[in-house]
Amino acid sequence: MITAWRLALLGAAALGTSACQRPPRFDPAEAALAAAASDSLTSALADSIAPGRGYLASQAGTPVESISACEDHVDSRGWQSFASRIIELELPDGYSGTSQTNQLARWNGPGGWLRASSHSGDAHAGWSGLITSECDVFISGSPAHVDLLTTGYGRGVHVVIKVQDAPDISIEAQATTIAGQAQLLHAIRAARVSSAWGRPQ
Amino acid sequence: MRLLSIPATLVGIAIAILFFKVYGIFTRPDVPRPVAIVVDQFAPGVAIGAKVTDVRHYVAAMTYVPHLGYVGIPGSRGVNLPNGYSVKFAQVRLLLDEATRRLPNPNPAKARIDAVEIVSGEPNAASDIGQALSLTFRRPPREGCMRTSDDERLRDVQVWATPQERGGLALISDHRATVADRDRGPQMTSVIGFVGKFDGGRTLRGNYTDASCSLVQSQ
Repeated sequence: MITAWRLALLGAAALGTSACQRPPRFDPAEAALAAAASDSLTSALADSIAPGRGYLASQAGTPVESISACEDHVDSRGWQSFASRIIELELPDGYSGTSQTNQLARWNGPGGWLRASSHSGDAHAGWSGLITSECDVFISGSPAHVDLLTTGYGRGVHVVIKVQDAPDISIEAQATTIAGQAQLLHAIRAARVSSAWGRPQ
Repeated sequence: MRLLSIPATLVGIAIAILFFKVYGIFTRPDVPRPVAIVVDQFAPGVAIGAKVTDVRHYVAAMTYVPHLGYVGIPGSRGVNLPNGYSVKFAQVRLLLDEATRRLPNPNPAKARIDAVEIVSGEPNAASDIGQALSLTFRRPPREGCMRTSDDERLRDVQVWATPQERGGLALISDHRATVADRDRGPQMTSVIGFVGKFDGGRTLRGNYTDASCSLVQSQ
């Protein structure tokens, strides 16, 4: 019985200690991810109900001056599907695959190009151009950072996808027009990370 | 003698387990009644503090979003506001605490709902719900603003807390000051039911500031 009392006393001591514990520390990085996830969900929900409320904006119409990295209103009906060991995506008519390796995939089109590769380091490293809009979204279930740029080529899209248990993916796309940039942004936001990515061949 | 001490050890372990079970029951944060009622009106069957598994039959197409919680489509009882009015909600988010939402695949049978967010895309949702919450709490809300990842898009925040700050409800809607803002897309409105003291962005899962959006915009 002495042992029983000892254990009960130990339990009471543990209880006393836990009662004095402070609440979990605030982690700004985790809070930022939660905010990005919440914001991304709200934007996606707004996009999904927009057509029913007459808000659908067509990029085939009159050109707009700039677009937001968080918006995605492009109609992708009739686009072609492409697959690689990095991502699977749909691109507008006229695009075709060029170099395809385990670490690099590239597609060229009449008004632009798109390249996916392995990424390490900061989201804003490894490319140049003036950022016009940024957004944190989820692509294929993974957190991603999107930058829209103006470059010497025209209009660019740069995205880093942080894939769980696999290397980060960098996607760089360039278009000559804003409408082309919107199409490539949509293609990237709707892309799926290949199941082969990060696995030995 | 050693053999005799084995039952005593088992009794001791049983007492310790019982002790912590009872402690858990008594220290579980209870949900203030107005918060629980509003959450149940807007997302029938969903309750703060419940385990995700317990509410799975009331949330359709439920999926897990890392760093946030479980997301799905709420049920509906029709009228959910005073005087016969109703707002249709398109999404319910079962928000998890910081430790659980870090996990890539938390166990729904163990994950407790830390807060609930219900989202509507109806144009009058913000004003209808705002009036209803003012009637319920009988006091003006605390006002603030939430910044989003899109620099041009701000969201108005109104928070009603219970008298002892045991919980509250936050109403968040897109800030629409100009005609251009109104043309951007449907106005999204969220209601977040939470337990405990309001802690700004930590409670709302967003980049919150105590200044109103009009003030933020003018800066």
